[in-house]
Amino acid sequence: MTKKPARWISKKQNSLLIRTENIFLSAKNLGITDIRSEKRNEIMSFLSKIFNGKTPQNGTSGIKFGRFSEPAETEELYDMRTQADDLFDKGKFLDAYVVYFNYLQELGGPAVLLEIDDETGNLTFKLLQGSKIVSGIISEKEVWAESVVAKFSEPDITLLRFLLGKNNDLVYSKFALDGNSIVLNQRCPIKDLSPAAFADMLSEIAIISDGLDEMIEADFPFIIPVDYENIIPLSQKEVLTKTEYLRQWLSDMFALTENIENEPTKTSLILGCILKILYLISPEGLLLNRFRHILGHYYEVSDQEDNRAESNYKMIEELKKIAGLSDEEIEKSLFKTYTVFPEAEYQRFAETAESLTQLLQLPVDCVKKRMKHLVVPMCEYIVGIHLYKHGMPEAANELLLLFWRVLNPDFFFGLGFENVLYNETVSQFLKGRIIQEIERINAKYSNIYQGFSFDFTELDFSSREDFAYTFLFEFKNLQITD
Amino acid sequence: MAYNTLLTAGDAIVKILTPWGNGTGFLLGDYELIVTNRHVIQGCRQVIIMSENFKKRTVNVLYADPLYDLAFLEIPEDVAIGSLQLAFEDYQITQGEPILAVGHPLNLNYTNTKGIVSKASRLMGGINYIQTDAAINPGNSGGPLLTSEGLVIGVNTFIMAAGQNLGFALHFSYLRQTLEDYKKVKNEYAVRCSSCTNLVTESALKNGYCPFCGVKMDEDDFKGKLYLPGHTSQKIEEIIKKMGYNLNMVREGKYDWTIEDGNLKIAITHRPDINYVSAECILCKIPTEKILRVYEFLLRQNYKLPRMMFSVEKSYVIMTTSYIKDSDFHIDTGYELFSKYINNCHRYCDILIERYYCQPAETEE
Repeated sequence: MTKKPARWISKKQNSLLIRTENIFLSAKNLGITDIRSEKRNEIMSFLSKIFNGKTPQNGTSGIKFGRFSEPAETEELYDMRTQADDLFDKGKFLDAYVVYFNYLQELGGPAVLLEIDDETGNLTFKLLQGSKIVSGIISEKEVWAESVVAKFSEPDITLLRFLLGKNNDLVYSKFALDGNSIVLNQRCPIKDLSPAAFADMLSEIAIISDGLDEMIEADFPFIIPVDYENIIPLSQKEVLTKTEYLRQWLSDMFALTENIENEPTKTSLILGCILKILYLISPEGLLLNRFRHILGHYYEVSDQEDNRAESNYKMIEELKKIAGLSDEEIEKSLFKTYTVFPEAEYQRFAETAESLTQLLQLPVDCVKKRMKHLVVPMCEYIVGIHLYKHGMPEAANELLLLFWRVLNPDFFFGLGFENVLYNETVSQFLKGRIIQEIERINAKYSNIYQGFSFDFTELDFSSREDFAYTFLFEFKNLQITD
Repeated sequence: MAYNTLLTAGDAIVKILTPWGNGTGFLLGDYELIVTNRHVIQGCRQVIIMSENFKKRTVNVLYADPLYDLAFLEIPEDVAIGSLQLAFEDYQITQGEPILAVGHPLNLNYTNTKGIVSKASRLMGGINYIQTDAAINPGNSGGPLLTSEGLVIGVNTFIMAAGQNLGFALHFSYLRQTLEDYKKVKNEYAVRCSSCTNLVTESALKNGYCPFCGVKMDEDDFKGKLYLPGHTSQKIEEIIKKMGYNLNMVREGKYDWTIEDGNLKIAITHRPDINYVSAECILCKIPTEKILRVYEFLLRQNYKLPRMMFSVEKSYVIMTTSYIKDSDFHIDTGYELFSKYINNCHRYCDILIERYYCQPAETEE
C-alpha cells in the first residue's frame, strides 16, 4: 500500500467515506478473528449513521417502485472499475479496493460505508442489501466478508444439514456457524481476490443472505431472525394505499382467472398480477419472499406445458393465503431498504424491443378470442416481466411508470401523485396531461439518445385496452441506443 | 432379462481418458484388445485407462478407424481384466429386443443403461447402426451394446443431439470384420484408409499418403494429435507438475484433473463458463450416530477456514476450495492454495474419522 490513498479519496465530495483516528474496529495488525463480535455490535450504529434523522418523505419523490435493477454503466463507472483492476494488477491491493468501494458508492449510494484505518491502512466496510448487512475487513493480506443470516438457541440437526447441503450450491461463499449465528461468509488472501472477484463474492453473500433468510425461517420456525427491518419506514398514506391495492389487484386477478380454462392465459394473468405487485407495491421481508416463492412454482415448470395447471393451482392457492393476511401482517413488509447489488441485470433496449414485439401478440390474441377485457392485464404482464427480469435505460423506466400511472390512477393518487392522468369515474383519459408528460420525457432524453422521441400521435385514447396496446407498440419503436 | 449375468461385464469395461475428454472401452478376450471409438481417443497414440479393478494406466493405441469410428487399444499386462464376447456371426438382432449400454455417461462411472432396440438396422452414411432407446450420453461412447445374455452386438457411437433417447451403435458385423482385418497386421499400429478401406500400417505409409489408393491420410492418426492446453489449464498443469504428480495420470479432460493422493481423490476443475477454478474432494461418509456434532464441527470450521468449505451431499462429507477467478489464478498462489488444500483434506479426513467416527468414503473409481 502506498499509504497515501487519502489524496484521491478526498477528491470525492459528499462521499460517505469516513476517515477516523479511532476506527471503531481494532484492525491493527488485522486481528480479524478478534473483531467479529465487536463488528456486529457496531451494525446498529452503522444504520443510525446512515439513516439517522431521516423521516418518511412527503410527496412522491421518496416512493420507490420495483426492485433494484442494474443501471447502464456510465463511462465514469467503467473507468473506476478499470482503475481498480489496474491497481490490483500492479500489486496495490488496498488502493484497488478503495477505488472499487468508490465505484460501489456510486452504485449503492448511502448503502455503502467504508472506513480506513489511518495507521494500518486497513479498510472496514459495510453494505446494505435489503434486510441484510454485509460487513468485512480488508487488510494488505486478507479479505473477510460476512453476513449474519439468522440465529438459533440450540443447534438443530435438520437446520445444520440444510446449511451443509446448501453449500453445494454456493460458488463464492459458504454457510458457517459463528457462536449461535448462521453466517454466510468468505475469507481469502487478498492477492487471490481481485476487486472483480470480490464483487462476485459480495454479490453472492448479499443476495443469498437477503433472499434465503425468510425461507430458512419458514422451514425452521425455531430460528431467530436477524433482520434490519423498518430501515426506512414508509408514510402512513403509502402503507394504507399499498395495502388496499395489494388486496384489490389480487382480488381482481382471482375474479379474472376463475372462468378461464386456457392454462397459459391463466399463467400470464397470475404472473402479471404478481409482477405488478412486486413493481408497484414493492414489498420487502416476508411478503417479498412469499411472492418469490410463488414465482418459483412458475419457473419450476416454465418449459413444461403439461404441468401448467398444477403450477397455476399452486400459485393461486398461495396468493389466496396472502390475500387472507391481516392488514397488520401485510404492513410489516411494507418498508424501504437500500441495496447495493442489483438483482436484475441490465438489458440493452434493442433486446427489450425485440422481446416486446413477440409478447405483444398476447393482447392481439385476446382480441381475436373475443376476450378484450384481458388486454390491459396482458399488457401489464408484458411490462411487469420486463421490469422484473432486467434493468432498463432510465428513459424507458420513466415511460413505463407513466404507463402504470395512466392505467392505475387511483392507486397513484393514493400515493400522492396529484397529477391524475385518467378520470376513472367517467372513464376518460386526461389526454392533455398525458401528452405533456410524454413531451417532458422526450425533452429530457432527446439529448442523451439521438433520435429519442415517443410518438404520442399514434396513441389510441378510445379505450383503456387500445391505449395500453398502442402505448407498448410505440414504446418498442423507441430509438434508444444504449 | 438376465442382467445379473452382466455383473461380470463391469470387469471388462474401462474408462478411457485423453486430454480432451473421456469415453468407454471394453475388452474382447478372443482378440486380446480393448475396443472403443476413434472419436474417444481423439488422435492420441497413447491414452490413460482405468477400471473398477485397477488404477490408471497408460496404454498404446493399436488401431484407428475413421470409417467405422473404431479404435483398438492394447491390454495392460500387469492387471487382471474381465472379458466380453462378441455375438455369433449369425446372431439376428430384433426390434424390441432388450439391450444394455454400459459406460460412463456424464462422468457417472460404470453405469448400466437399459433399453430396447428401436430399429435393428438404421443405414446412415452407408453404415448400419442399431438404433436404441437407451438414454445414453457423452461418456457412453465406445462402450458395448449388450444383449440380455451379455453378448456384444454393437459399439455405442453417437446420439441424435435433438432427439430424446435416440442412441446409435455400430453393428457388430463391422467390428468383427475390422477385428479380422486387424489380425493380419497385428503388432503394428494401423489406420483404415477411409477411401479404399485398406489398413495402412505406419511402415507402409507413404509420406503421409495411403500406399493403396494415394489419398492423403489424417496426420493426427499417425503422428498423434498435439495437445495445447488453454492459458488457465496450462497454469493448473504447471502446478500439478510442480507438486510432483504425473500429469498424464492426473489429466481427465480439457478442464478436469484428478489427483490421487493417498486414499483421497482431489478433482480440480476449470469452469470457463464462469471463469473460475476450484478443487473438490470427498473426505469421508457421515457416521451413523452423533451426526449433529459432525455437522456443527464442519460449519464452525467453515467460519475459520480461508478459501475452503465443507458441505455434505448424500452421505459424503465434501471439502471444496472456494472458486478462484481464473484471472487471479497464478502459479505461485495456486501452488500454495492446492498444497494447503490437499494437506487440509488429509488433516480433516483424519480428524473426522478418528474423532468423529466418520467412515472412509467408498468413492467412485
